Amino acid sequence: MSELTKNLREEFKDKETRHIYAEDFLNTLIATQLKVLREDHEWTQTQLAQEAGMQQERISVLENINYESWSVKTLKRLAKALDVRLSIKFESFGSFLKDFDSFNRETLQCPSFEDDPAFQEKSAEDAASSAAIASSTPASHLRLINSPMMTTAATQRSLAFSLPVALEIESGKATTANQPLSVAETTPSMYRATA
Amino acid sequence: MWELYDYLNERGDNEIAEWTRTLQKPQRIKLRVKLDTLAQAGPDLPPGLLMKTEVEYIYKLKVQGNPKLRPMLCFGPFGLTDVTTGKHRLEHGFTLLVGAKEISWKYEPKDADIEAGIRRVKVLTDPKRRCKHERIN
Repeated sequence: MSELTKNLREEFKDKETRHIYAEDFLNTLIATQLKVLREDHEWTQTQLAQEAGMQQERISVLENINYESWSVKTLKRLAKALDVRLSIKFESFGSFLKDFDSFNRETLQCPSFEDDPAFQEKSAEDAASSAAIASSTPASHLRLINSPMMTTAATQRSLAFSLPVALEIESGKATTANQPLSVAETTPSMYRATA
Repeated sequence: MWELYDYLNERGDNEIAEWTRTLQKPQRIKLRVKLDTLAQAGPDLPPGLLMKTEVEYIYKLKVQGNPKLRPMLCFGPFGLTDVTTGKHRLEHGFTLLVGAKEISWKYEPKDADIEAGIRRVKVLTDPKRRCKHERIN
């Protein structure tokens, strides 16, 4: 548990604090995931708008962590456009700490249907062969294969049925298509002033 | 994780902490969320978290609400040189320089961005003019 979540654990003992905090972070989470999924599709805001039957300006508004008037209807439209499912459920505050601690690009990614390993044609036979390998491989290695935290959709596609590659990831040799910029690559000029 | 720092005035008072204490509790919590998000994910991932101002090197953190909070900050500002590659880059952090609000498209205090630019130079000149970010609840 990070220092940050240790602080939150203490601060969340106050009801007003935990509810305002969680609600505000939910806005951050949705807007950020929307942007991440759009970028994984390599779509512009205009392309996503076309897929969702909206105006680009609307997508621009939604892709902002300060937007707070989400409607389930809009979220459903976006989910359909991105070919992912929308999941809305009540959660404990305990799970919030975990969500916050793992807030990064990788955990926000999810494959659209055509990249979803669960629906690949070869999934049944590969599941069988993976099970055979599993009998001689430590469980901790195999868990990575289906971990949503693993990598980008594209990488998941290539790794879904390949145990040796997944093990390479574990040893830190593999790279991902959409890794966040390193500090050295992050320059202030990336941020534009707008109204 | 990104480190956060607060500006200290000439008497050594933490002006960011003092400003934060003047805010209503809901606003303080919303500010907390944005600062924690910045520390956790950095500036690239969450869209709309930081915005450039008209003053070079100075950014505003955007916190919606009534009033809108716009604390002014800068990357670093200290540079680090990688001894193995010789590459120069900014430290992995931000320094909060001025606590500000935006009311009717105007900053309060007036010229908060300009003041932030001045303070950034003061911090660069004297590293003791900042401290680790103080968490105010």
